[in-house]
Amino acid sequence: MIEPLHNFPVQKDLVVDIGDFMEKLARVKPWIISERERALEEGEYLQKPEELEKYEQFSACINCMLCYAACPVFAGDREFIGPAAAALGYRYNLDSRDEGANERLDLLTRDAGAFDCTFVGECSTVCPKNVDPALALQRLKIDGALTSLKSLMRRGK
Amino acid sequence: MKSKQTLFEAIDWGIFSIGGILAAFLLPANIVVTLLLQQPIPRGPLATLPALSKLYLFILLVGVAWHAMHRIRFVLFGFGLSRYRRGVTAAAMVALALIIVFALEVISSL
Amino acid sequence: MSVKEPSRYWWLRRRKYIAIFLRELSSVFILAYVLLYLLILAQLQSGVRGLVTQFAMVPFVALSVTLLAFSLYHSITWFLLLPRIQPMKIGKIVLSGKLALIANLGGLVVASLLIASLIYGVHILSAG
Repeated sequence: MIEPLHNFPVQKDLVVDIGDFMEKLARVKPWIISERERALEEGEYLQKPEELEKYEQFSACINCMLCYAACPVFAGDREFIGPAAAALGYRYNLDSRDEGANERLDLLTRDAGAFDCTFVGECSTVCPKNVDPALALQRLKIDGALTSLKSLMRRGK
Repeated sequence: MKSKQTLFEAIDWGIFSIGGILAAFLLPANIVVTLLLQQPIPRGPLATLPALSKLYLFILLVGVAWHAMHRIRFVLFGFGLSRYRRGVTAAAMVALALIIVFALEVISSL
Repeated sequence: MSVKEPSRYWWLRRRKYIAIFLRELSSVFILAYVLLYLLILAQLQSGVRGLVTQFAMVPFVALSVTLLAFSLYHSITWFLLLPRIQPMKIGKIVLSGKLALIANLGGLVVASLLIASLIYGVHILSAG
């Protein structure tokens, strides 16, 4: 059966409104965040193959939105940040060139963030590029929990 | 700079995870022994140290309750109640608090 | 021009999703066990005739078996989920999904025997 992508507002026939999806992708700050501007003379960022390997699978997303269409959490709550955006944000957190992991982690773990995921796992099942956004979401939960624990212990001192 | 929401969700999820492990490994045996074999009171060799069996019961029951309450809360969100997020979360926390108090009372006087 | 959208809960009609919904539902049953057990303990202490004897046998056993079934379903689905985050290893060998499940079920059996005998005093090896 041919039908429009699930969980998105249908404009007409098979065309859905992807505005919300695009906004979420931008919201996770999908760019290298640096403490300071690099001068041109410093040259390009250097990255070893092992450092690339850490985030490579999460960078394979083609923005097809199948994961959002498959997610029952997103079906019930359109505010949910969703698999692709979370995986994209996580990709940058894992990038050795990036220095904005804490900032990104915080915005990814707020209300309607990673913790809303109930690990249904269908997002990863339907992903045509094997990005495994479900894994990104669970790792974000773990990272979020661990940094919260650390910040609590620091406050206690 | 952690927002309070994040902190709360993170801690809730952490305890949920621990509760999940406890439930996964320990709950089936507990159900068989306490309901089907009808032996609800700890009488084994470890129960001679009453503090130990009480601790076991408290950690298991509260952990499982927390785990369950977290799942229930998010199932409700998935069914559209996420627009009443604060209310649902508050209700879940109150219910959990009541269960913890009940558990403390019952287990401590064993 | 807005078009009427199909139901948000389209997934409730797909088998895979129903299995996961049941997994989430199992939490209601395990919560029910916690409350039931606490009530049984409370009643035993206050000397009131226990919940166990107030229930007729058959419904009580039916309820217990249902709770056990959902508890096992919770355990199995949990064991299937965790290796997707952190693959289980024995030494350097990574266990596949099915092997990891079996290993965890083995752990469940061991933990069950320990709890039953050490905490509750059930005689596992009694001759009968």
